[in-house]
Amino acid sequence: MTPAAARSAPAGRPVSLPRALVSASFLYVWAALLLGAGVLLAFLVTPVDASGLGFTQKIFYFHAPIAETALVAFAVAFVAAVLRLIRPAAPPPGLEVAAVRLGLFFSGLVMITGMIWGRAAWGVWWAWEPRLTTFLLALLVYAAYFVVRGSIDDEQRRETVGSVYAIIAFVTVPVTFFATRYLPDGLHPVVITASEASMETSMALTFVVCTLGMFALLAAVLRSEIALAAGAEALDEVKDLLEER
Amino acid sequence: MAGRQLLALLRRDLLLETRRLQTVLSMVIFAVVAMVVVRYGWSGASTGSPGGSGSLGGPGAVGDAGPGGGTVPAAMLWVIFVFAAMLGLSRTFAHEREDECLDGLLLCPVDRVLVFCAKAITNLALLLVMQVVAIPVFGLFFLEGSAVRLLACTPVVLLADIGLASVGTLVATMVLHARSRDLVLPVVLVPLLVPVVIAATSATAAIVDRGAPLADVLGRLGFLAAYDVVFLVLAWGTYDLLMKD
Amino acid sequence: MTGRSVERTPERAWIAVEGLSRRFGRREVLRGVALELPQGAFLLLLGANGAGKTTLLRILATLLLPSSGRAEVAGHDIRTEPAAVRRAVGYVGHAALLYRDLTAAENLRFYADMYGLPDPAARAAEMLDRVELRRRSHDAAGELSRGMRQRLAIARALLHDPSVLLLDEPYGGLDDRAAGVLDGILEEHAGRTTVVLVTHEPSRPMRWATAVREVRDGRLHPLDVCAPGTGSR
Repeated sequence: MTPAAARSAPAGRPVSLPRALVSASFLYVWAALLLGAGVLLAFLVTPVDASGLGFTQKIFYFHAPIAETALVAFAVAFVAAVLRLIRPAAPPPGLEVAAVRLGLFFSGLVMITGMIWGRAAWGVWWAWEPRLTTFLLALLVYAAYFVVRGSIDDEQRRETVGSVYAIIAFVTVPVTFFATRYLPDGLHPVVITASEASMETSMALTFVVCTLGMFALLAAVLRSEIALAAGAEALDEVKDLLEER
Repeated sequence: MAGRQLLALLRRDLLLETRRLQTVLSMVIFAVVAMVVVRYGWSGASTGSPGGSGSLGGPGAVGDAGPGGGTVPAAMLWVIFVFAAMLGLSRTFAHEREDECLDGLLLCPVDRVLVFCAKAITNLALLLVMQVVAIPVFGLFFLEGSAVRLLACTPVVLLADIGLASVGTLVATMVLHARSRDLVLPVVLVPLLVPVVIAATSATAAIVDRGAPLADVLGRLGFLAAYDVVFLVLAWGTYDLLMKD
Repeated sequence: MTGRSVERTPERAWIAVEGLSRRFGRREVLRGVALELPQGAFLLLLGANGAGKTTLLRILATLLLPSSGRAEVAGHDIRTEPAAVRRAVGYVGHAALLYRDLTAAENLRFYADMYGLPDPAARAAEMLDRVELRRRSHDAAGELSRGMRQRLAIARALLHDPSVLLLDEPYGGLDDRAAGVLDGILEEHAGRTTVVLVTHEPSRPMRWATAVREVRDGRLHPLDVCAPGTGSR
């Protein structure tokens, strides 16, 4: 790349930070609106649960969407990893790492909301029910993603190994879920689901709004992370060019 | 040609492992010592106090001692196997690390997947040798009456071992060039093996403790077989990339 | 299965490198290396430590992938036909590439099997004779002296009769006997086999050299050739 060409386009992909920030902000606004609406709906509009759980049941309007968002984040990482292994230039740099990080964050939230729910519903902080167990494993497996990346010095190898691991980790999630049916049952099986059979319209609406809001939040943060990563790469390339002179 | 190369790789591994019995001896000694330690610890807590098995208190905890204490020893057996496996797995490429023998191997016109096959088979063999010693010891220490039932566990052990060996070899390759390899390998490997441990423990406990016939645990055997297939396919697809520089 | 199966024509470059670059992280070790060697050429590669000589050699041996550019060895592209290149290349690196716990014969036998050679045991014995290690055939490689290990490494590199020899400082730390064996082998192969030899002391192998290059700033720079050249750039 000649210095003249580099001056006009410092990175492989044109970096338009203002444009990236605008699209990210757009997504953030949507996320805020949707989640705000979700909170209002959950606490003001939906009926209080009649089956004895009372007010605490409402945490479920957030627990399930967060769980879905975590899985979507891991799926994004999986797709980015597969793309990178097949066509190395295709996925935006930093997408895979950002998606895993966000997936971890949301998984942590799943654990917290799940434990609160479990405490309210069954009086226990922890139970080996399928969803909690699977998310706990996902937490561990994806935390190890960063351990693996952190231990490899060579940049190219780090990316390759990281991508392979992201693929393996994603496959492990459904595998673990199926494995949990072989866990010995406790005194009573604890299942954290809403009874879908009798979901009122307001409840269903709240679910949808919260889910969309979480997805929007995920998209917004991913967009910001990609822009940051591209910006950092562009900065490095400029530094290299300066050094060469 | 491929068959001949595979045999050559296996013969080399066999020679190297039997010249210096380091790896296999360490695995056997570790397994037996671990069982001794647990046995001593177990006699203290053997009268099955509820919640005494280390759960966070409450119903549904894995490892409640059933009659005759079946589930907990089975889980312990598989945990010990996993850690003994790790001793062997961390040595997977030990011979290649000396004198850059990995270069020597990569210089040969050999399909990288064959290298995986050879290493995985070697690791499987090491596991089996260790278990041939460890399983009778387990029967002796924990199962007085029902020790014979351990023979019926053979399919479980074989299928689980294939999973351990293939995932283990894949991960060992991923951390081949990593710093603090001995630290990273267990952290990365154990969460991935949790599904195997769950299924194998469940099946072993069913057979040993309740005398269940093999037909009862077919579901678990099928799960283990599926796990093996999934990860073997993953390894086959990604191994070439992992070996490239 | 030897490395000489591609038809040789006088004009065809046996090693052709174009625009070869390789970076490690942010550091660009090779930038735009170009090279053409006809069959039987003997190239000496000189240069300071860390200049990229080993990197270039490893790329030609398919141990490393270049970051950009093309390279063809023995008529095969290193990216698309690495197995064919590996069959044609014999590589001697800094390390011996031998298993310490295996005997000399077992080491060579293993590699002979990996290269798919007919009658591996006989070929191993033949090479052990060639490097004068017949009497140490059944000694573990770890017990051999440095000079003997290097001789064994050379035997390993020549097992499959490669048409290209890549040698990375092969004389380093050799005793007189081993150096003599290496001299003999190079004498025998000069003109028949395409050789690239990295060295810090060019005086010894200079007698066979048809081209000399210095690796500097990630590129190849020609130096004065003391022996008559055969048309290499």
